[in-house]
Amino acid sequence: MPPSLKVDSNKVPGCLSTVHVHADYDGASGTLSYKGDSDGLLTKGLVAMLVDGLSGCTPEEVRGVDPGFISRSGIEQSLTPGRNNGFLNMIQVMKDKATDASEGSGGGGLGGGEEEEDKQEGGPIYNEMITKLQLLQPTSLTLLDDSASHASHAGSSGFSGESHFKLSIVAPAFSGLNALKRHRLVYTILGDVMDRIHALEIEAKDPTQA
Amino acid sequence: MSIRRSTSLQCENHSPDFEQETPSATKERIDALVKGNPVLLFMKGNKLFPQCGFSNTAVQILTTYNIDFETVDVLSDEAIRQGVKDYSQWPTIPQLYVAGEFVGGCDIMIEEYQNGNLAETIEKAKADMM
Repeated sequence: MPPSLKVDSNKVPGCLSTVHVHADYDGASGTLSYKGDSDGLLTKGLVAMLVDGLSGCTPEEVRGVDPGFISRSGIEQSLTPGRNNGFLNMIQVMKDKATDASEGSGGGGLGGGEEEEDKQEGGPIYNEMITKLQLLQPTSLTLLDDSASHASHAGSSGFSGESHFKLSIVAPAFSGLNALKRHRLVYTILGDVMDRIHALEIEAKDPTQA
Repeated sequence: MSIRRSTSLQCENHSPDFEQETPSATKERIDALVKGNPVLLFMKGNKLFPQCGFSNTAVQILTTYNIDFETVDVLSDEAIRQGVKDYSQWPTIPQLYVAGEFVGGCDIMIEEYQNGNLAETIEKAKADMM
């Protein structure tokens, strides 16, 4: 990856090492080609794997990548939680760049109704939630940090961002469960994250409802 | 829409200088509230002045059913604010109880309001109370 591409707009947030990802879109073939690099060996390997796997794909294919492969392939077991977070962020950045590079065809990202989802910077709580929610093997997941729009209301003092979230999630795990049970499942999965955030809006669907 | 005459239950805040309410005492207090009121909403603020968008939505939904319902302001009662999360095994406020059973928070109320289930649950509770 040429040094000229190692700029802040290509930097993957939330990684222990420094990781950059760049996407080029070929209008003729409708496919993307990625370049990536990292100063750490492990992360260099991870980004190389993603670059290799996702280059040549269309933006739709990239956006449709299900992060669940991390658990199914066993990669998750080989990585610490911090590395898993970083890996998820790499995938997310590549998806965002797929949307940007092809100038976004249709409603962005992973099927959520919210508009602002594409540029998630991902604070530590956000990343932790994303990682934990993988346990549900979601086919679609959109998490929005909505804290800014709640910044000044009673009872929320003491939180600085990462306080209010909106989650849209589709997972087979929800089949056969009523709304209450689905929400309880999400709370259980998130565990002590709920003690650290103020509010979570949940829309939980099973694949037949998506 | 006429404003219904309604009551809000104000739970007394025990001063920390005197007796601290024990968790089991709080649990009993919550239990009594839940069982003693057909429709009970734990919320932030009260019916006239909700102090949170989600609590406000919950109040608005309940108001459409033209029933008497009670509310508890968790912001003025720290023991209940934490206690009700343990009691319901549910981490957020608002929380709705109908006929002594936990229905859910704001998202669920919206869903059940839209699909008609909440109306049914409330009608049944009203009928049982008569």
